[in-house]
Amino acid sequence: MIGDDSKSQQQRPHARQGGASDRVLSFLKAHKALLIFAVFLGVMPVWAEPIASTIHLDIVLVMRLVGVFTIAAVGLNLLIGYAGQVSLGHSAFFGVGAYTSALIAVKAGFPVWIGIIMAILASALIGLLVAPVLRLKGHYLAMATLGLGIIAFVFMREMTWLTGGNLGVTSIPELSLPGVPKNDISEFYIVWIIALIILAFCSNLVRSRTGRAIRAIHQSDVAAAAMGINVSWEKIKIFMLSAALGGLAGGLYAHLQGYIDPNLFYITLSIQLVAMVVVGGMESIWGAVAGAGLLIFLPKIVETLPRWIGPGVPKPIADYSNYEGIVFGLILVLAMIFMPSGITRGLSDLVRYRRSPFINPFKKQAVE
Amino acid sequence: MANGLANGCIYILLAMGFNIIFNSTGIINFAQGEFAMFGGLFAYTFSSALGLPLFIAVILAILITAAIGGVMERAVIHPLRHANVIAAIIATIGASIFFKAIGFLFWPNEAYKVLDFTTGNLSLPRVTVSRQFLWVFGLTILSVTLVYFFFNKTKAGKAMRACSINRQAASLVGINVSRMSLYAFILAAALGALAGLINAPFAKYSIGLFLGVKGFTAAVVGGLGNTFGAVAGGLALGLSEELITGFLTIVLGVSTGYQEAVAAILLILVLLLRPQGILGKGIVEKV
Amino acid sequence: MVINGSGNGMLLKARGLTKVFGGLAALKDVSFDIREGMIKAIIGPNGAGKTTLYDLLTGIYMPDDGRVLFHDREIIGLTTHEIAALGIARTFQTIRLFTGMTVIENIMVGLHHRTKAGMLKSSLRFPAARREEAWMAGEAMRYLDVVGLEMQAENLAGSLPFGQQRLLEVARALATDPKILLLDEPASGLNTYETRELGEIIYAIRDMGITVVLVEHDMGLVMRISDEVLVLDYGEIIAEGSPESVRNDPKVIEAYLGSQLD
Repeated sequence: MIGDDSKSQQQRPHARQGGASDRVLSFLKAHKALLIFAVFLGVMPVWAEPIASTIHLDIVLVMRLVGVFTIAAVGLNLLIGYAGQVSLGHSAFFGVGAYTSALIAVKAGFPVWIGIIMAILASALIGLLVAPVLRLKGHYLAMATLGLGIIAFVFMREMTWLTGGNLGVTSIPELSLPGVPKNDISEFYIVWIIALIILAFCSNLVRSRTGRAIRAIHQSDVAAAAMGINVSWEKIKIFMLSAALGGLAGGLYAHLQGYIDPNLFYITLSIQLVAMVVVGGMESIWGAVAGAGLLIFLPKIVETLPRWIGPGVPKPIADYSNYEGIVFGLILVLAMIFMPSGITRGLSDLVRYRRSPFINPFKKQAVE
Repeated sequence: MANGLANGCIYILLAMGFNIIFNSTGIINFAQGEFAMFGGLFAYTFSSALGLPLFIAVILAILITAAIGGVMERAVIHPLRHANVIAAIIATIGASIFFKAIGFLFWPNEAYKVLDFTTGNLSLPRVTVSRQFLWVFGLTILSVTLVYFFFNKTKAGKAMRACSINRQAASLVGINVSRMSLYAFILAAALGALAGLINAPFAKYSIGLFLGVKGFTAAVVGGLGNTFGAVAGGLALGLSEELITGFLTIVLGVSTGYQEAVAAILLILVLLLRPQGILGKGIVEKV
Repeated sequence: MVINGSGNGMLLKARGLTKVFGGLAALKDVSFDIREGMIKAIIGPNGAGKTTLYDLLTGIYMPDDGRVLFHDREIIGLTTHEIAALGIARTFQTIRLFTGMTVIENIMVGLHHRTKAGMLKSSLRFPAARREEAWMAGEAMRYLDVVGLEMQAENLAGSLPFGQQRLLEVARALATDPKILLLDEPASGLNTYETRELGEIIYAIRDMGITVVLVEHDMGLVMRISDEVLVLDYGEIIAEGSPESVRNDPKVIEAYLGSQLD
């Protein structure tokens, strides 16, 4: 297509053919923070398990879910934060992944990991099928994807012959590896090993050629096209990757919970995922971790508060089961008003550019 | 048909709310459905629980919900007036989740029965319609007329229309854009409350998102931002839902549960094929 | 319409380009040639259709009529990114940098279509992808050097002063390795010193073997550096030729004076 490709190949300096050890070293250098985080996670069960009953909160158990939602949130952040395409329909991919993996394990009796792989492929395929909505921009795209989420939800509920409808799918086998005892702690490790691999993958991606292309599209699709970037194809690719990660998370979720029904995958789930991205920090890989961690832990902590205080708590408050909504709603509103670039972006901007985390990055610029 | 029309009326009121807010602020208000939730639940509390006359209960429900809309605007939207619309939209999602949780705090039951305005049927020469339906229909026509007069005959309404055409220019000629945003939320909340309380017989804390999506679909079908396109959009959505569901259940024999997907499919099709809405004129996109 | 074959050094030929917006013709039957290696300026009063012409040449708009041959290949109907890959690069009148990315990243986006590491290969850090990445970084610095921005490589593009943003946009366009570079009012907003510097950079670009087309209002710059000038008024060509002949053309004088009297 372009005659100069071979020429540019020749111009390249002959980089040293890095050996395996060289590659490992460069990987470690590039992912220092990830390694520190991995060590932190590695020792977590050691200190968190003994205190679980004292603080009325099993941190390891909750962290399994944080891992799952980190995977979905980082995938959604690629789409929303980096590529600038707002999806309010990711519950669809999460749900498709969950049902695919669960049904393959329960109805067809295949091993768990076959189901997980099929969950990834199925969600990516659905992503490709609905890709025409990517022609839409701004809140029109948000609304169309919201519609997709509703359609997927209705089909999950109504295709009872396949999904069991509102009764859901039960006794989904847990995540396990051959030779490893099946328990919460091994599941915690399995989930987080996958999540860390995904985080490394995505943080490489956003710093790569493809990552620059999608960030360019976010800032000016016209200029990106004028640079020779195939805008619609790049959008489709990142949408499919994002869907695939949603499917992976959904598949893992189904096996962790052992039970799924359609109401778990209503558009409230999409909104939760978007909230994780936004509160954690758009255009930030760590934002997904922070967002998932905060939005999953905070409601759990608030829920345990009455138990800490003990019998003095009035009964209606102790019985109330929707602190999640109140906490979650308030976090979203307050985050948008006070720290709209999210936790991680706010902090990293503070360090890197000495910019206050309270400055609004969305502030309208005078355009034309 | 009556069922589709009655639903259509509810969608019209919600869609007008979406459009009014969109016009004066550029925001899609995700909490619109929760206004409807509050409308229905307050009406229940004042009429059935406190025993006030239904007429008073309805007025009170609308006024309180309108006040909630106003408070939301000052607390959530006003601080974000210089922010990107996406941030503001996400904040409205946060508000909607918060409202739903509040609804669940005070009205935790699955559903509450709101009294019909008048019970029984009215027999006309050829058809029999429920009196409730006539109320729904009448109140919708009344609201649309009032909103029409507000936008065309009052100073505040004209100022709000000016904002929808060009906010910057409106502010230059001395219109208080921030106050118009407040009015828009109050008006939209009142319309939402009315939609919620004619969405009888049941009011429940979880209805918001469901109604919100329907109302938004109606707004898009009629042309987002076109206040009176909402009428066409709402009726088109209500009727096509009934027709398509009838077709699905009677002709194809599938479950009525698919009705919920009809609005979503319609929404996507309209967005992809005719983003300016069924009434809108062509949009010229300029790069 | 017959367009003569190749071999006469014509890089780009436009014939009968017409574009109508809502009943108003932005361009009417515009035909011109661009010879390889020249600097050609397109001038005309505001609203004459200059930017629209660029938008047609780069596939942002489809013309209502007319053809454009680039290297004797029809490019009308190709998408913007296909045209960019063929070797037509442009800058924008209102700067469209990727402001949230660093200066060097902006250039590396320009190198996008000349590289090929895919999503999986670069995310899994395959050796080939890492080599390509190193090459891109080196190559990007070379382009920054052309416009003198190499010291700013790691700063955010949006934080640069206005004049440097214009230069960065030029460098980014150069990074696509174009045969022809369309500059849209590159001197607008620049001070006298910066404009003179821009003139030198345009010469340097021409010396790299790249044909330059220049939409510009700064007549001093246009008359000094262009080989040929084309004058548009109300979407029609009213004059074309050397800077001297155009400057003395009564129709051009009238178009400019007339528009000033409006």
